[in-house]
Amino acid sequence: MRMSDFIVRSAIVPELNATDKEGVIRELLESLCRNGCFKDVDVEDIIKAVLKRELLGSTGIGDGIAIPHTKYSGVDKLVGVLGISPSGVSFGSRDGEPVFVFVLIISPVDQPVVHLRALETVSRVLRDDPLVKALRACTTADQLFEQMNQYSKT
Amino acid sequence: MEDASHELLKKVVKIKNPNGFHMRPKAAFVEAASRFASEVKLIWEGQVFNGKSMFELMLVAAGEDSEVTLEVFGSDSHLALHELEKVLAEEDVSILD
Repeated sequence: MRMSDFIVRSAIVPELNATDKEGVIRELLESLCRNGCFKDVDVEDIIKAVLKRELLGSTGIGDGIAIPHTKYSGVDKLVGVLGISPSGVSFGSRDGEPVFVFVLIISPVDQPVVHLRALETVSRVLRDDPLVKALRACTTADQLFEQMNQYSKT
Repeated sequence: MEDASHELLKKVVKIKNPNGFHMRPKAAFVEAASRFASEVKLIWEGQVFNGKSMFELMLVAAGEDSEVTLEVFGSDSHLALHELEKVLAEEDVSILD
C-alpha cells in the first residue's frame, strides 16, 4: 500500500489554522467533506467519532506526528488527508511534544486489516526525518503530495 | 522485579483481537515493555521490531489470527514475557479503533 492510494490530493491542508485538537480534526474532516469524500454523511458525526477515539488514547505517536483515525460505518472505502500545522498543536502525544504533521484516516468498519495497513504505511513513510522536514517546508497541497509520493514509492 | 536469569525467552502469540494489533494495544505494549529492563522484540513476517518503540510497532500490521513472536532478554525476562503476553492477548474492542 502507498500513501497516494488513500490520501486525497485535493483535500490536503498545507497550513492548518486550528490551534487545538478538536480544531485540527474538524479542519481536516471538513476538507475531506468539501472534496466529496463523504456521501450522505453528516460531517459532525464523523468529527464526534474521531474525537471519541482520541478519548481512548491520543493518536499522537511522537516526533511531531499524529495519525487521528476512526472506523466509520458511513464510508465504503479508506480515505485520508494530510495537514501541516506551521506552529504545532498540543495533541496529548506520547512524548509530550506538539504535533506538526497530521494524517487523518477514516476506514470502513469491516476492513480492519486495510486499516492496519494504512496506519503502517503512514508510519513507515513518516519515520523518515528528512521527509518530515521537507513536508514542513512545503507551502502548497501539490508540493506536499509530490514530496509524500517520492518517499512513499519504496 | 528482577529474576536474574538473563535468559532469552521466546513465545509465539496469536492475535485474537478482531481489530488486530492496532494502535491502542500497541501503546499499551510499549508502555508495559518500557517498565522492564529486558530487551523486548516483536518478530512479525520475518522482521524484527523494537518492542519499546511506538514508531517501530506501528509497522506491525498484524491482523486477527496472525502470529507474532515475542522475544525478551534480560534480568527480568520471565516477568516481562508473562506481562507482555497478556497485553498481546487483550481482546478489548471498540468500533472506533
